Amino acid sequence: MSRQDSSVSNRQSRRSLLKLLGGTGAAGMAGLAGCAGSGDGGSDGGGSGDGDSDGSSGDGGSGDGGSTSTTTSTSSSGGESVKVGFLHPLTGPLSAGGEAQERGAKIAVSHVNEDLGGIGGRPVEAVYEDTETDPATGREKARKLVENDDVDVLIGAVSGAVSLSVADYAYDAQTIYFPYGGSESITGSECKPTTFRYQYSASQSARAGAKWALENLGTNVWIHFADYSFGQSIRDTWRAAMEESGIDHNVVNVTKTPLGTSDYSSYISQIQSSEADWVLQAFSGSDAINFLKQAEQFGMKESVDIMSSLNAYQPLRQGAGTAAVGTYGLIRYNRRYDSPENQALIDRHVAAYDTPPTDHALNMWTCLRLYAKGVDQAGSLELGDVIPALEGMESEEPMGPVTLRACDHQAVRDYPIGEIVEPTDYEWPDLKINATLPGDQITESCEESQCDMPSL
Amino acid sequence: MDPAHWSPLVVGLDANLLLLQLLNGLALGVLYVLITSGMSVIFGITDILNFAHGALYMVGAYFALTVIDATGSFFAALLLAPLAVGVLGAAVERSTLSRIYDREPLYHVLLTFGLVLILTDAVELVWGKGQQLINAPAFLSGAVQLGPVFYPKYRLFTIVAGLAIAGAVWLAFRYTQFGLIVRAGAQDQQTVRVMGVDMARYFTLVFALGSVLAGVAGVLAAPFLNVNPSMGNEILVVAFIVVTVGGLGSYAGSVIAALVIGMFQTLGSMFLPQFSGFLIYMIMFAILLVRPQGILGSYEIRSEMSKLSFEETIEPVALTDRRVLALLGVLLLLPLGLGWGFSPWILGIVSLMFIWGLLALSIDIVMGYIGLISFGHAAFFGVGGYAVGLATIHLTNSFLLGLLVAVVVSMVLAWVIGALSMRLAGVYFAMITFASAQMIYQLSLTWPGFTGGSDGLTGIPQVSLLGVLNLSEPVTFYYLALVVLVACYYAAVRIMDSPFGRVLTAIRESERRASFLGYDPDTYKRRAFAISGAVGGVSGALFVTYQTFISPNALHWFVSGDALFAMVLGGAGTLYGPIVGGAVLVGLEQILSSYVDQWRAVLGIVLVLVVVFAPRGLVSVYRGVTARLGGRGRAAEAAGPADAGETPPGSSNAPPTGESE
Repeated sequence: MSRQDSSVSNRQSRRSLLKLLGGTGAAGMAGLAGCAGSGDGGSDGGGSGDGDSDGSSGDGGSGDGGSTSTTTSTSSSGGESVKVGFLHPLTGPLSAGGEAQERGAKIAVSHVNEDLGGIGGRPVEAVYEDTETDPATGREKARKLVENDDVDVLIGAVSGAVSLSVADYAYDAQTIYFPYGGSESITGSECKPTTFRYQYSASQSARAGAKWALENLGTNVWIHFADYSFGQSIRDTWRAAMEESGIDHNVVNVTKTPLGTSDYSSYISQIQSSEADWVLQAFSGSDAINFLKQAEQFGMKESVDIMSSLNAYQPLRQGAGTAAVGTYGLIRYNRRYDSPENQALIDRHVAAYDTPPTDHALNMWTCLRLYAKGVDQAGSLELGDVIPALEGMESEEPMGPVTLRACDHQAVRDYPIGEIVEPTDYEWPDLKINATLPGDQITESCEESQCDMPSL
Repeated sequence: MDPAHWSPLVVGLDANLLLLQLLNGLALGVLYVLITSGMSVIFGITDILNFAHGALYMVGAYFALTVIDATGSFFAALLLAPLAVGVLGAAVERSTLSRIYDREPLYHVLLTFGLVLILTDAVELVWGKGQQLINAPAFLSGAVQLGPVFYPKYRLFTIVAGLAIAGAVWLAFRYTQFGLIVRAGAQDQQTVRVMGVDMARYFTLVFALGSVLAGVAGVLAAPFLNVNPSMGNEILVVAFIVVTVGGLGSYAGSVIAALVIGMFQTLGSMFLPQFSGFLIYMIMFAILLVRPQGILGSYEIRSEMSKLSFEETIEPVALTDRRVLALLGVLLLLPLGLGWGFSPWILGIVSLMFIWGLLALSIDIVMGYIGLISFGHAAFFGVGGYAVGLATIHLTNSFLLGLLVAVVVSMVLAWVIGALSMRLAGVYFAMITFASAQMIYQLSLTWPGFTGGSDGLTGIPQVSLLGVLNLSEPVTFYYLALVVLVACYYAAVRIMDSPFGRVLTAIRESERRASFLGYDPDTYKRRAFAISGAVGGVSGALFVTYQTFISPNALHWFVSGDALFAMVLGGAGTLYGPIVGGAVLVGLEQILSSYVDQWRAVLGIVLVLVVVFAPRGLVSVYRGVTARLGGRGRAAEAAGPADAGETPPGSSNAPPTGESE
């Protein structure tokens, strides 16, 4: 039959094409596999570079850090660099912040290398990996960073689930990890000796925000959360904080949506029709932007205020635009905060990217600085030395003094709260601070904490 | 239980709220109408289930972004962007899909799946990965008063515009020549061809029309649902449910189903918040079981399209084959090279290759040998994984016990799904397996007490073998995975070689003849599906043993898609091909993701190329290459076994005579 004949001749020509492809492909793969496997896959720009850094000064392995060594010598392996593994969600629902995080990480590395003389006098080399906002991938990448790239410390991975997964792995792998996720359990019930967190915990945000909101926005509350660990954390901690505030309040309803939901209209309609004075928006990223935009279209803000611990993030304000104006939130980074450390951060960020630092940049910057300080104080990179040095360590950072508490390794620091207002110097909405709550007031005591620190 | 969790149904219905929700449901439904009507019509005439439809919707939104940036006009975008998507759709159809119309549905599914990967990464490359903002035109922003309530003007506009466009298309189908031919072609293609119509051109036109509709949906949705590269995926799943309920191929059916489901989702979130995510899958499942033709469709499987069958049979390679032994030797010695330039992490990657090879092998058992298209194997992988995870946490960390639990659970699950699904064939079977897997995925998300919810199961203790060997040690696990893989392959080969396996092959080639001979196809299919599920469970069990972690993502349909990809990439129906395919896929992913940001697009391109040019997979490429290199022509091959290494005894490379129907 003619169909068979033509398919026969098709197969002939296909085979010739494929012979060529197959041969070159196989050879290529073998070659590349060798390269990728031998441990230099993706340092600096290779892993995830999407070309956003404009050639800012060497944030890779440049060895000029050794000249201004300010500390006692570290372990015997001389000028070997300290390797830092950064994990960012460059794809997935939280990718809006991923790029901002990576940028922050890059300038943090330059800062430590050039301004601080490296870590323990040794230059810092960074490797970046994409967690894809997926706990299994994040864990796999963490494994790659530790086993393949020999990093000394892991930093990053936002999204509670990913952070928890990586923290679990980091403990098994005996590597220090500074998570970026805010879920309570990271320094709570799932605390680990290798985990140190600078990011505010969910309970800190709750204690800072709940009482203020009940006093200033009203006592009828609607809670809407994204159904994953972070969202659930926010729901639980804010409810507890509202109870503790002693203010008589009424939780009108608690609703939820899966992470990655795009249509909030049915919930917005419900919230608007209810007696709620304000709604606790317990989700972030693109979900938050959707929610805010749709709320704006429904005119919800006229009758119900929106309170969130996450809307003040700069990428979110940029993404939501006018929809974010008039909402309230906890503020993690205030570019107007007057400190020399903050000025250093702003200078570098603006020089590299022509835009002020984001909250993400602040976090990466501070985490790396804290680790560097811990290693410097310990005088070595050994876990047994660095962990005690970090426990209880105090430091002056861009947003003020920080203490890394020994009992649960959670950072204790002050927390501003305020409103998102019309744009001023930049195209996106600005922040107005209404109050700043002291760190020790908003952090639960060690006795109250659910952390039962396992041994190393 | 917290009273605040109870739905407003308990508290009291508010008429205003109900009105608002009806409007919301309608707005959502209209969006679904635009997307699914295109998808349904495409299927009706081309028999292609277009996985890329969600991506086309997304591209429409992004094109709108560009038009608005250039012209500042939303309406210009509403006009131009969908047309651009239509052109894109036509181009895609001409260059890729048109070459594979005579192939089995599996290839259509995979090709369009590859297109999703390519389009998503292309969009990210051009427009970036983050969210983008599109604002409704000024005169449509804000809310308008409708009786007692305020409702966003833009959503009203969406409802009106969407219905108008859907209505116009319906009129076109009803009253134009084009519509007549499309409807006729959906009913009986042969006759239309015989009447002199160039169906190829109509295929392109219909695909373009479907793309335009998806593009319109994207533009309309952009101002209120927001623009990001993954916006297509969420909508795709709902689109599948809608077209199933409405009836594949029926325009009117999909309109009705879309509106109903849009309403259902919106009202469901109000009245049954705990279940609304789960329920739509149950509806899909129920429809497929009870009335597969949906509301207005017709259940018609063109017999030559329903199964996977091959012109050329490639027998599984024997384990005693020289090359296999050589390869096994290399693999056994690989860990000895540790420290000579590669780290234990590389062993982990190779172990992952074994795991994926095993999963792809499991699908081959049903797909390559019976020709059933399973798009739900993620269920067995995930369930096997969770079984081991939970057994390790709650019972014991013995690997053998965990493995036993995993095998039993996934086998039972596969038997149940198989039993329910056997009455369907082709694309419908794919969809019911898809729905089953998604239901299990939803279950894992909404049962956090048991499954850890969206966080997954962390803190799984390390698994040990016979209480002696710690299986989290990379080297130990590596050997375990290798042994399990070889054992499963051996078992699969023996099963397929047995009388049972021969019957399976017979069923694949002609079910009717097999039943004439006295075999009950359904019994055999169920058993094969159960075996396939069990092997899938084993791969999941290995995965968790290695990772000591599992999350619902292991149950997501992307896993099913990737497993199919691996199988086809390697070579379906060969048993060893999928193992190769799985390994290549893992390798490609690891290598590419370190070098290229758009590695998914590269994988998508590979998939498209394989589907179009090398549907028999790498295995056939390899055989072609060795045949050429060996300097022997096809005639010489057919004349006799060239050498034990090239053509395993018993197989035939000669041009087939009547093996396919």
